[in-house]
Amino acid sequence: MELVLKQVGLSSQGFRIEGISLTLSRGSCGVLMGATGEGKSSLIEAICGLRKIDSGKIFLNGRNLARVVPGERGIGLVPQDAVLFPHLTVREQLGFSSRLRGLRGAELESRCREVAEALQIDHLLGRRSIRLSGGEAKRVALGRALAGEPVLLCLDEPFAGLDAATRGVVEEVVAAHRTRTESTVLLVTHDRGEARRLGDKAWSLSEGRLSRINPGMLGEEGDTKDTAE
Amino acid sequence: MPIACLLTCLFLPGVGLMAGGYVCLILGMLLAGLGFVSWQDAVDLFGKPELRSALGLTFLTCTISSLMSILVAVPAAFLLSRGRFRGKSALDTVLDIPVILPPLVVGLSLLILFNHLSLGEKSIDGWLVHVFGEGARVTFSPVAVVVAQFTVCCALAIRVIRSTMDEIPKRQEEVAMSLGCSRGQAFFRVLLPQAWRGLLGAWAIAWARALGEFGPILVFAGVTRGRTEVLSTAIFLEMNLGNLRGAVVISLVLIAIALVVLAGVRWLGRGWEREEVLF
Repeated sequence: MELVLKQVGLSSQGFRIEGISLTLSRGSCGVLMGATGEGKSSLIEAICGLRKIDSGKIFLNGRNLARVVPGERGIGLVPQDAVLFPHLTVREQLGFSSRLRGLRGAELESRCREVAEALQIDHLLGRRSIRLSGGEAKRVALGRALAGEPVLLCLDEPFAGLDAATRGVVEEVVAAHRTRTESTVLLVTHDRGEARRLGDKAWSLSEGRLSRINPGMLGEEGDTKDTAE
Repeated sequence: MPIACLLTCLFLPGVGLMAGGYVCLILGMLLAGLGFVSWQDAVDLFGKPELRSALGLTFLTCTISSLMSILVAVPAAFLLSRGRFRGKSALDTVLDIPVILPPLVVGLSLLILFNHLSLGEKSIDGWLVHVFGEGARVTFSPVAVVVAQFTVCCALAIRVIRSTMDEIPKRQEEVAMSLGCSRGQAFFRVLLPQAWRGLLGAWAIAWARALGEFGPILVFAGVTRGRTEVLSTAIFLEMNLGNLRGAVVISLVLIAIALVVLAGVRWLGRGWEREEVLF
């Protein structure tokens, strides 16, 4: 699905962003970089419908999302802090979205297991989320979003705090999901390597303004100063 | 010995002495009551059918009013915890009124509301009698006992449930909504299952408070033997009849029931908590 932002503006305590315009074509991955507190997470939340925008429009596949409630947008959000539901087991978390869409029984179990195996968390399926480590929680949050087969995947620093091996696995899962479902991905990260490996397009958000950067150039000095924390 | 060291050494014993003194006062009251009456006094008192009727009405009204309180408190607490609207702090203050008002004032206000506030030609009670017959009159009926208990207990339940909801991050519901939930589904699937301990605690507090409610019941429902008499008002009645032993027996029964309910709820909560850790 194509994601289009037209002159989007929003403000909150501590920041104000305005005139944000970007286009992310179907199946591509856009990377949003910038220092902490610039409003990257808020912009993602606005796309997901969790935060009101002050101005502008957001379109997903040509549909104006202004009057579309979050649950109807078909977006999978992986928040920075995972935000798992402590009363549910990992299996229930993974099946959360699919269950809402009417999946039951063997089909639901198969979907949960498939995602869990890909993310190497199948041994945690019966465990409650309060007993997970930070890295495990991140993978469960990603699996929870992926299992719902969203048309747009919004990832807010999903790989932060993961060890190199796990990060590789998770990046592969995201890439495979993109290829299989042709879903669009919007990734917030501070990691230039991640941006280079995963991103087709990259933007830097600084002082409320969005500027385009070339992901291929992220490894080189000069193109990355906006992303430094 | 330096003063700082002396203060450190005396701190814990001092704190213990103050808390211990209060615990001694409570236990002293209970023991004095227990020593004042005999088992035979209790047997004699509860041998009377009117006291058994008061006991039954107490259980019935406490259960109904506490359940009604939870039913109303859950949406009210949700509104206060999650809502952002003009007049929220005024609403918050209004919901505290039943708790801070003197109990007799609550009863008096209910009496005026149902009998003297004119809605067209009649009062609320007047309309109820007019439409449904004499049996529907609220004032001085068992229904008045429930209304009086509910008025105070609901405010307490709202406080407890709200503080429980405040502790559950709102972001969980937001993420649930991004995953496909409507606001209602996020409430029932994410917030409510996590707030059950608060709900249980609120129900227990509401039930125990209803058990001890006296002033509003006395004024609004009256104390008619076999009709509106509950245990708390039975104490008043027995004292007026000069039966101090009877009043003490009923007090001890009230204390025992409250203890059983509160301990039962705490035990249930701990049991479930242990189960959650295991599985």
